[in-house]
Amino acid sequence: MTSSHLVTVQSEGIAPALPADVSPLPAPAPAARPNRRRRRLSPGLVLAILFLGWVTVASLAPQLLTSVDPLEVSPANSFLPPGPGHIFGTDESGSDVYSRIVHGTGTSLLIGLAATAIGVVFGTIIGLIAGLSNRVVESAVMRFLDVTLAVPELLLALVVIALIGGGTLNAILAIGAAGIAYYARLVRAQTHIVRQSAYVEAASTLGFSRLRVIVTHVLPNAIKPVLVLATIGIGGAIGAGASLSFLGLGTPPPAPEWGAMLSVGRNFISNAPWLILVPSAFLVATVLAITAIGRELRRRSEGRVSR
Amino acid sequence: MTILRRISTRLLLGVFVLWGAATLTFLALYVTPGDTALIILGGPDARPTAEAIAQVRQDYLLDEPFIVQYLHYFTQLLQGNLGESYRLRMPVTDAIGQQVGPTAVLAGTAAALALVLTVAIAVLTAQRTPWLRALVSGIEVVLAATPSFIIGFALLIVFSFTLRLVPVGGGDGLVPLILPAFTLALALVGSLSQVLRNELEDVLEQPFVLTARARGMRDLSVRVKHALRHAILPTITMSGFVLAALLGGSVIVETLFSRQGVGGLMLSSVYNKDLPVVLGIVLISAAVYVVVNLIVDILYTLVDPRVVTS
Repeated sequence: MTSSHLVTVQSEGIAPALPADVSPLPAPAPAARPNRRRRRLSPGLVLAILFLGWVTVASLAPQLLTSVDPLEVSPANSFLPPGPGHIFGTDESGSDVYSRIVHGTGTSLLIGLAATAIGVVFGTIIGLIAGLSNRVVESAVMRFLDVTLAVPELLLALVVIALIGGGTLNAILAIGAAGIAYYARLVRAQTHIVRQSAYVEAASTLGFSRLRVIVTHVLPNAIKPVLVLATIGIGGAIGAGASLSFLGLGTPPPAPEWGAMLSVGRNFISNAPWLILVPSAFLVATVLAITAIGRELRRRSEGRVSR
Repeated sequence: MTILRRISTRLLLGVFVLWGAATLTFLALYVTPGDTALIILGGPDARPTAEAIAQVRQDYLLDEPFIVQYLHYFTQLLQGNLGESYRLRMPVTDAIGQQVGPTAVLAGTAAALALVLTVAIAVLTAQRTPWLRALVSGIEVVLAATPSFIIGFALLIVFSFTLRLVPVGGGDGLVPLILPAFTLALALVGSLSQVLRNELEDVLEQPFVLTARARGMRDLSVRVKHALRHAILPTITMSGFVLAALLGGSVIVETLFSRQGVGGLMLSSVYNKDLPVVLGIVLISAAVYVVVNLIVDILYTLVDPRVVTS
């Protein structure tokens, strides 16, 4: 995404499966103390890192953050508003919303990480092939990518799901596949830059094999900026995963996944708005935190190149 | 001459992309997992007779060689025939045609809203005091990071359930369009106004802006009459992103607000594995994308011929 980023666009993600962030320019670095290498972290960034720490704990060891079973049903306690006992209230089956949020973190994060990994790995392979081949192969690959880039990422993901069906795993595959073209184009552009650099020329002149030059020189240098953009892409992919669950094509309820919680909560939006507000807040906070860290990484890597 | 050459290259490329998209579409139909004849006859639960299956295989040319099916698909496509829906028992073009109106209205309204909001925000906030800039770009970053269905939820909760300004369902005339259009538009504004403001701030540093100010022109006039004209041109290249967000976003927004439209048709077809409809919609959206990008490219070349030489 597009990515897109999709644009992510992230977004969107998918749509907004584009990477959530499409602005090409970061804010200019402050002019003061240009020699200082380490920039002080802004308060927003500290918050983002802290929040992602919480997300990591919730993903790996949810039982550390809550002892309540996210699937526990108690009809007598349904639709309790946020308050003591249930800090984020309860849902239509009386399950504790906080516990469901904590236990759902892992799935949402997994979708984002795994889908981005699929996009980056296959995108890198295709991009390297295009960037290092002769012109005929290169333009064939690039035109093929043009075809996929002409379709919004969400629609591409929907086609994949129409072919292989829904569910968490298939949603990951669909979002990952929809992002391949975006990363492939990036890697190919980077490969072109790296290929013309002096150190690659030097390595070739020294008589190293083509494969060795590619693996030890081209790949690591071409992929670095791509990994930075992929960090931002993770946020978009998480949003895309939630969007698919919301459409009823990702993780099916009653599994505690944020998008699935929103999909069900939508039916109770007028009398139990916390069923929407809480998962939305966690989803947006996660995407924002990842985007903020990705932008900072990009700012730092660009700063180092230009100075 | 060079301009003509650039335009014809783009035209060829556009035709190629459409051909590629159609071929991929055909391949997807061809390799569909599961027996196509069974899907057409109502899925795995249906118990069609052997004769019915044989009839369908014959009607849909399923036993013909690959190349025959491909050529048949393509000749049909060139006549504007996208095939037959498995589920709706009608041509795909008719199924889409019935739904295209509401989606076009929604996407068009959202695009216009997004344009107005983007220009207004960027013009009013470029090169302003740091705190205002920080506040606005903070909001923009949040909007750009928020999936569109959550923007829609927020609007519903604030304007329908809390302030009760807009009815949740129904309503007459333009009322049911307000929240969906704003949802789609806001998802775009976050990204677009960041780009436009960056461009504006670059332009406001130009000498001709200083000249205009020295002649005593008011600040707002300088921004609108001089700076905006220069800054908006590079932003037009974002049209691809805008279009993708509108086409993809309409699926989400139509579901969220239970609106009629192509998005709903897309979704129900995905649920039912009605591939001809799914792929027909994808193909049409690729065509729209190619045509819009081509028009933008041609206009851009005509307005700013420097792109040909650079």
